[in-house]
Amino acid sequence: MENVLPFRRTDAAREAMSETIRLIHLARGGDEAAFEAIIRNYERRVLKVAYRMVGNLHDAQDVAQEVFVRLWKHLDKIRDEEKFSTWLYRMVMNASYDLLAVRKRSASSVSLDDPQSGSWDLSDDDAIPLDRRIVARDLQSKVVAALDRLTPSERVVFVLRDLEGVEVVDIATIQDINKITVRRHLSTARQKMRTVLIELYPGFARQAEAASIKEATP
Amino acid sequence: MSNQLSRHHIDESELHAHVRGELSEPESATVLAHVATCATCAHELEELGRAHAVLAEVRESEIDFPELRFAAVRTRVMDEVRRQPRAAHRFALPRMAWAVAAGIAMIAVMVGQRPPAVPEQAATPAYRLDAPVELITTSTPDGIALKWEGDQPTYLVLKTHRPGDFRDAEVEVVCGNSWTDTNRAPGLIYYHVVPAEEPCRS
Repeated sequence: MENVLPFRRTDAAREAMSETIRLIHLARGGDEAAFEAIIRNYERRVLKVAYRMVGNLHDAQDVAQEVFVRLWKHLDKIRDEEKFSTWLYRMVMNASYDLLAVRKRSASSVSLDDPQSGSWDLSDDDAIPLDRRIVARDLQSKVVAALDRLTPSERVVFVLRDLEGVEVVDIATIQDINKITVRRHLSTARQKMRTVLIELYPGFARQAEAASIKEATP
Repeated sequence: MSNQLSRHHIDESELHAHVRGELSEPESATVLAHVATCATCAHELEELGRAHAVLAEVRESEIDFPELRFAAVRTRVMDEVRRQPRAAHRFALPRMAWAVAAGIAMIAVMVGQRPPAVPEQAATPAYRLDAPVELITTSTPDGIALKWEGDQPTYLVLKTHRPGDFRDAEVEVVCGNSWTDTNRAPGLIYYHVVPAEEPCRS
C-alpha cells in the first residue's frame, strides 16, 4: 500500500482506495479493527512525509499520532472518500507546519536515535560504500537536514512536489491556496535547495557508482 | 531559430520541466536545440540535472523506520481511540426530542410489536435511545459482529444510515449481549444499541 502514490490513478491505486473507502465506512460505525487497518495501510507514508517535514523521527512520530487521532475524531467529515489522500496529506502538513512554526530548528535536530542519521560523509573520498541502500539513506538524511533552510510554507510545497511527487494542482487543494502561490513557493524553495543538492551530487554519484559495481561483483 | 533562442535564455521552470521529463518531445527538442548553442543554459541544465538526480534518489528510496516505531504510534493511537468511542454511537441532543417521541413508535411498528406507551410529555420513555451501550464491532466473514456489556435480557439494535436519524432505521430485538449483522447493505451503516425493558421471548 505504501508504494501506491495516492494521486496516480493506477489500477493499484484505485484498488487501494476502494479498500480504504470500505474501511472508512466500517470505522465510522465504530469498528476499531477497521480503523487499525487504515493506520497500518497508511502509517509508512504518513511517517515518511512527516519525517521529511519535521526532520527527525521523534517529532515525526508525534505528528503521525496526532494525524491518526484526528482522523478517528473526524471520520464523519470526510465527505468524499475519494479525496481521503488529500485530506490525510493536509492533516500531516498542518500538524507538521504547526510544529515547525513554534519550534526553532537547528542542524542538530536530527536525533541520535534517528535511523537516517548517518556518520558517513558523502563528500569524503575515502568513505567506503556498503551498498546502494546506504547511499540512498545517507543522502535522504542530508537532504532532509538541508530542508531546514526553507520556511514552513516553502518546505510543505517542496516536500509535496519534489519528494512526494504530488502535482501542483493537488498541492493547491491540499494547502487551500492557489496554484500561483504554490509555484512561487516552489521556485523559492528550489533556489534555496539548489546549492546543497549540487554539492551533494559528486559524492552521491561516486558512491552510487561504486556501490553498483560492488553489487554487480559476485 | 536557434540564433533567436540563443538571445533569450530558457526559463528555469522550463528547464526543470525538461529534466523531470514533463515536456513533450517537440518541447524537449526545442530546449536541447537552444542548449546546444547557449553555454549559460547548458550550464544551468547540467546543474538542474544534478539536483534532480539527487532528489530522484531521495524520492524513490524508502526510509528504514524500525517496526517498533510503527507499533508505538499504533498503540498510542488505538489507546486514544478506545478512550474516545466513535460519536456515531451517540446522539446530538437536538435530535433526541424527535427520537424519543417519534422514533419509538416507528421502531415498534417496524418490529411488529405493539407500540410502547409513550407519555405525551415523554418524561420517562420506555426505551432510552439517548443511553446507548458501548459497542465493540468487528468485521467477520459472517458480517459485522457487535458485542456489548450489560445485564438487560433484551436490547434493541438499530441500523441507520445517518447518526441520530431513526426514520429509516432497521430494528432487531436481540436477547443477550451480541449480534451479527449478516445482511449488510452497501453504504455507511451506524449501529445503535439500547437496553429494552422487556423479557426475552426467543
